[in-house]
Amino acid sequence: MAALHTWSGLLLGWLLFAIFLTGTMSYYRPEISQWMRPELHRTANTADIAALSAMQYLRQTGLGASRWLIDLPGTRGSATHVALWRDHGAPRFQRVMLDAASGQPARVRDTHGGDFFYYFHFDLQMPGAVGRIIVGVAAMAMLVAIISGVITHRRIFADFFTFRPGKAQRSWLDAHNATAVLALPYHLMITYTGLLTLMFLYLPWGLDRAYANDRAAFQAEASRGIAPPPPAGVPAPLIDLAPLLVQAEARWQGAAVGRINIYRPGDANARIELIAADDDHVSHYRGRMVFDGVSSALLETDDNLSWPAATERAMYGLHLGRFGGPALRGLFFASGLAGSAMVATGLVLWLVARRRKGAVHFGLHLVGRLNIAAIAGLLVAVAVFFWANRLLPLQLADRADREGLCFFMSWAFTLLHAALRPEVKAWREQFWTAAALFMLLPVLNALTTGHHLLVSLPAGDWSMAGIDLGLLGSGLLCGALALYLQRRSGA
Amino acid sequence: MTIAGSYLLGMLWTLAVVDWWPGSRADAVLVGTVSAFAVSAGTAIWAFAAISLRRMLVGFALAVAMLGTLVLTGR
Repeated sequence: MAALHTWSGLLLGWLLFAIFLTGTMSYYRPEISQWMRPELHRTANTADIAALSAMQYLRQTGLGASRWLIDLPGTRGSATHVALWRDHGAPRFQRVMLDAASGQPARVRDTHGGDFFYYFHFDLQMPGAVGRIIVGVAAMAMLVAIISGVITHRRIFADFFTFRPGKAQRSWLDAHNATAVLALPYHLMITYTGLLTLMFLYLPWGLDRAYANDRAAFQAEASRGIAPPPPAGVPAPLIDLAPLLVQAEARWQGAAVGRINIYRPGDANARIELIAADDDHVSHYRGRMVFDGVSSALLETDDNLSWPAATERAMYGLHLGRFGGPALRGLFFASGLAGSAMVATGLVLWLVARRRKGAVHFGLHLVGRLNIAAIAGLLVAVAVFFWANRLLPLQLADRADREGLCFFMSWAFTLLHAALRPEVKAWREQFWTAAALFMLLPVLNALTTGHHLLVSLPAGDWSMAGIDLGLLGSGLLCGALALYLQRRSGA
Repeated sequence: MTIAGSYLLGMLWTLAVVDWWPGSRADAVLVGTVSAFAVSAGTAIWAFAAISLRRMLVGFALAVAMLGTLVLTGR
């Protein structure tokens, strides 16, 4: 039982580091996506212009569809994502990325962009719900560890972190405690709200008991969406979107529209649903208005949302962290990095404490090697993903997935490297590799696109310049860690 | 065992709240599900923190019996 506990704890630790790091990166998902699509026209567009041009595109290409969806770029991107569903005819489902200004399909490289890390942080890029369930278990264990750490002051941790005072562990423990405690409220918040984002996958029982299999009814009653009426079968022209946008933005006191759902366009029972962008308020998916798509009558709003529903929306929004502007986002990012560091130092501490007791066996060797690949190796793999984005040929088939393949292949390679090299050297070499890869990325960006720092900085293009600078900073951090390890080992 | 126990209690909690929440059924589902993670976490901590195995099992059985009764008599 104790062995199971120890090993599952380690396994979760490796997972949690990957979840924390890629999740932290996801605060800048729109900027990373922009960086990875340098072909996009980098113009600031108002939500209205993007919405109307997307609408024009859908009116030309989406006739006969049962639903249109428009996800607007917001203030941090310049691509509009549209999707449409058909009850009859092909294709049943279609997704297109539009240039926000022109409303025409964007001619950009095939990449998952920041979405790759965003999805990885909760589904590990595994098929079906497997990854999401594994992440849920890890998050639950994290929640228990945090709360028990606070209440009982390392009651559970007593087993994990028993150690005798000594310089090396002392410093690891200090680092672990500092990163854990400094950002403690953040860790508690991000873990709990993270579980809530997938709560009906983990705990469907209440929903199923109250609604049987009619989840659409729940969505409608909780004001999370609409249950559109069946098609009337009578054609009727869809109203113009512009006046609705004016009406919505007046009601939302200036907040811009973020998402538009159009059900049954061209039918007498058409519905138009507008949802405000997340930037202006904590809550996710708040500010909903549903219009009749023919008469333009306002049918529904979420003004009188019940407190449980409003609380849940706010907790969801807290996890996404799309509100509050650059300063708060920076603070969340720093807290997320502290969380990643907390997990990483915990993993190292576990090993140091056991070795200190004089334990030498194959299991500890294995843990030592896996620690290297899970921490330093992941950093190398992240950097490789950015390299692959710039270097893979643009015409390559399945290019976006090949970028992901580069990520996983390089991660596997770091494990091989960690297994073959002496442990101390493997740490150092992987951190140096990550440092070099990260620091050279702005150079690679300059060589392969016209958006290097000397262009993007004066132009105020923060998605390009910010990511370039962030990559540079990541490289410096990895370099500092490599130097620190080098000094300590006295080589 | 701890994992199964905390999951079971979280599940029973959700069902009990859904059955007995005085407001709308949508609110009941949200309140029950959102709070269940705290109940599950609390159960796991109880399991680790209890002074003896007997005390832990007695506490757990009491909670299961209470929530179970609520669920069986609800709706």
